[in-house]
Amino acid sequence: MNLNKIKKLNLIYLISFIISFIAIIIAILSMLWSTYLFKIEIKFIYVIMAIFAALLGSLINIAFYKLTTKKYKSKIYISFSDKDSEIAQQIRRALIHERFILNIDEKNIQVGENIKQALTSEIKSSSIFIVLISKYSINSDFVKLEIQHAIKNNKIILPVLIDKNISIPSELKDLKYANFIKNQKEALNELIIAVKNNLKKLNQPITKSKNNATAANKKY
Amino acid sequence: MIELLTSTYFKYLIIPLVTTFLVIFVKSASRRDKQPFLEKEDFSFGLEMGITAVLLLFMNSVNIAQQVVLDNSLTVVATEKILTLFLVTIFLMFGLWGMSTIVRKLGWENDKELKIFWGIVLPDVFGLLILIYAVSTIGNEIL
Repeated sequence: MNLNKIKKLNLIYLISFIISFIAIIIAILSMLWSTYLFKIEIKFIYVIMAIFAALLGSLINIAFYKLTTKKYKSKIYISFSDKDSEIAQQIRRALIHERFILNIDEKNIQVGENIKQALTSEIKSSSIFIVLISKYSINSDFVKLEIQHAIKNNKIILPVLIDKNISIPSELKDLKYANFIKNQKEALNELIIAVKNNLKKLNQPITKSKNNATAANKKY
Repeated sequence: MIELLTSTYFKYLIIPLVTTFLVIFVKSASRRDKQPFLEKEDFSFGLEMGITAVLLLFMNSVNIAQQVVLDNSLTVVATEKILTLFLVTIFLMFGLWGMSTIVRKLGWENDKELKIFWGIVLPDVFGLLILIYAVSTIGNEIL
């Protein structure tokens, strides 16, 4: 694109902005002018009341959403390499937002506690095992061990692919993965839906006991 | 009941509350199941609210014009007032177009997400102002 074309586009962009702002200002002034002309009394308190009402309307929607969204009792375990902690935190936050209960973070393990034992017991107490597949995690002994534990304990495994051109571990090859490389938001939504559907299959809403659900765990 | 419907609280509290609730609710409830029920974008209700208010004003102008035609005693001043109301409605339509352009040009964070101020708060405040104006004008004795 040549310089003249860019200048022309910028000018059109600027003009459309100015016209838009002028249109908004004229609209506001015309409202004020007609309220004066028709002697309509709009007190400041009315405006405050309306803003408050709009906020209340939004809050009612949020409350409705919170009340109608089930809070699940089953735990979800996220397995990842330390080098992928940023994306793991992103997934963690999204799952917490959906009111799922997640396994404890490695940071919460006390000094002197056996990390392997603590994480193994966390996997055992979880129903769903999410594993982030990356160039780092496929070579991580910890992640390999966690995958083995998840398979051994018949956990539902949900793989998430976050790196290109890597060979997926043989144990996970047959499972469909959420593809974070293609479209992160879409993949995150797919993952959340998969978690929800699997928990539904396990009959794990808050009303059901954990023991019943563990018995229904499914091996992939 | 009639007292409630004619009270100031109904105009400036119940109408904005119900409108906001319904716009957000309908937007989120109609989304496909694959996506989350409530998203940040659902709270951008200003433009929809503005359109509703402008249509109400437009219908109000039509009703008043019909009254003028039927009642010969209404003066030229009344006709001028109707024209004013009609003109304001046209200006508000342009205002909504302007606000849509601002949201389109400045309001998007990326392909799917809106910015909080330019994409949500600003159009919401504008839509709410038009709604307040509409509920104040409709039912007011302007003739």
